[in-house]
Amino acid sequence: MMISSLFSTQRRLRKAVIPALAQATPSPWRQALRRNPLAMVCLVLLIVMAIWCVLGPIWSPWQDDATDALMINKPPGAQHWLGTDFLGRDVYTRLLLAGRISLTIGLLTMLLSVALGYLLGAVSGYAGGLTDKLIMRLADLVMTIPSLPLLIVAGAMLSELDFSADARIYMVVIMLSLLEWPKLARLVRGQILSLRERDFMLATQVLGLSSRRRLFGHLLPNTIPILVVMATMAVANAILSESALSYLGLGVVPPTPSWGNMMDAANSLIDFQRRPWLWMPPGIAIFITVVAINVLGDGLRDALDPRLKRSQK
Amino acid sequence: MSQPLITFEQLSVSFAAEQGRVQAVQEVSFTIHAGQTLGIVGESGCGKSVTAMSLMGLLPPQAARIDGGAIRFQGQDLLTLNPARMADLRGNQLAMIFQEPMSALNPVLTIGEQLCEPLIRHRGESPKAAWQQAIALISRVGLARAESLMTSYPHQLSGGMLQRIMIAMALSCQPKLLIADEPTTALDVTVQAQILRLLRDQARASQMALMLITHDLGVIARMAEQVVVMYAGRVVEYGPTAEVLRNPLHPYTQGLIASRPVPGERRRRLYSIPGQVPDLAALPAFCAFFDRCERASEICRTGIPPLVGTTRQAACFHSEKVESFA
Repeated sequence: MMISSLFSTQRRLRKAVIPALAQATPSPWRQALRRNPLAMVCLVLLIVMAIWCVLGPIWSPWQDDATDALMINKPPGAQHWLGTDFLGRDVYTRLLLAGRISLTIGLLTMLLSVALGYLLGAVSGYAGGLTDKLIMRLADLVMTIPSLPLLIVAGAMLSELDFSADARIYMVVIMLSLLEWPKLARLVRGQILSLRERDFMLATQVLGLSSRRRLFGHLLPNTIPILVVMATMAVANAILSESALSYLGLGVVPPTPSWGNMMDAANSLIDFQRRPWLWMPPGIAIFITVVAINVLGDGLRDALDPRLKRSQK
Repeated sequence: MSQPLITFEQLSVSFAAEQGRVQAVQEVSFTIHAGQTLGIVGESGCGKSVTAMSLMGLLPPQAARIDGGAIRFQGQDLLTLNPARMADLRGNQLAMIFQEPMSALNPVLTIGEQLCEPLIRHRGESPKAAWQQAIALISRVGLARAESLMTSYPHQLSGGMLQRIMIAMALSCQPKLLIADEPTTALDVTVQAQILRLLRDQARASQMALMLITHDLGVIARMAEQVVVMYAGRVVEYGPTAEVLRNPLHPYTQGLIASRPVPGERRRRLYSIPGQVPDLAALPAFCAFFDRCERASEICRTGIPPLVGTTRQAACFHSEKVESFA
């Protein structure tokens, strides 16, 4: 069933007419996505990666913070699959734990920024007038500030304020969300501006529907496709930004591992040249995740665009 | 005769535009009785659709202004009705279908969901009951496999099927009046006839009045009992269809009839009315058809010709003479 049914009559109808809906044609965009093997591979890859990161450390014989002075900087072997770092910690276990953190940051940032951006964009587009102007100028303001320098300043300030390592994770999420929302808001606003002029919105007026019903039942479901695509891309963006920030020591701080701060190892020339097992795994993990998310996002965009879909048939 | 269903009384509507106020509709008056079919004919931009939209109360609020007149629905002036009451009437007593069914349905919702909307809104039906009634409506407009159509999306249906769905949606609350704004323009010729027949049958079956907006005189001839001919925002001729078409009084109506292709008759070129539709922002203070009229004379520049006559009305200083010619 389409996600759009969240808003629609179908939700009202679901309980009443389950038999009829059971025969419903499978949602067209899911079929289209299934026909795109590359996007499906990426989807499966991401799911496997997420499950691996969550469950992997449970079965690992090594503790995250268990240091071993005798096993410092060992190369990969049977005992430590991906070797150990300068404190003798198991790189493989840390990689999975870092994955948990990085993926969590990616998803939380996406949720927060999409919620903010979608809400503000929708209000802006639907209300118009002064509200629209205020929200859009605010978005412009945020977008004009170069994000990396701003994040570096904010990160440095956070370091001064001495947050706990766990709280840092959420601070990073909030920082990234506050920078990400304007892009989404503008996109959603544009969509709504064009959609509300379409004939079917006039038709809902002709039917005498309430403006709440017109907004939630008819207008917003049309923005779901673009929302799904933007949300996907936002995860990739957030993971990248987090990595950059953590690499600079301003995002997630040790001992909490994240893919970004594990890459910090590449900062030292000796580690970079002689101990690639320290920085290669997180680098590859970031690379695969971001590429997979972007390919999936492209696949979703193709699948969700009805015009494109029909021309391919 | 009983009280008319709809009465337009000297309705004038103008729009704000860059070049000043555009007089879209001026002093339009006509009546529709219950169960009657009235056709409005005229070329693009003559005010047909604005007339319909002002009846539905859906003129764009920023740009449009009602300059005068009234639209009475069963005696009540719709222009002074508050928006909430008007919304209760729309889709309920007053229904409307559009030119392009493909864009008038929401692409991301199923047909069933959209058909249920007015039933839930105006009839207070439960979703389950609305669903059952919607299935009955689909069968009523002559579509097979109603159950499976309910769960289809608009892009899976053809234009003709979608227009039937639109008609079903419009009929769902048994309206007193259905406005059909060029209902067949976007459809194949073969489908056009079916849709028109469906509209006529449904109107007859439920004593529903039909306001048919079109620029196709053939459609008017087949469907409408009364016809209103509009030109540059004004009614130029109004009367029973058969008489108006057989014996048009206004030169514009005559031109329209003459420029219609006649099957079987091979002419080198179709007749066309010379000149162009006047700019609605700069209408002359005399007959707007003056520049294009073959019968124009000095009297035509003296003022705007009034709509004269009783059952048959025409707005031309020469109409009496024309009548005597015929």
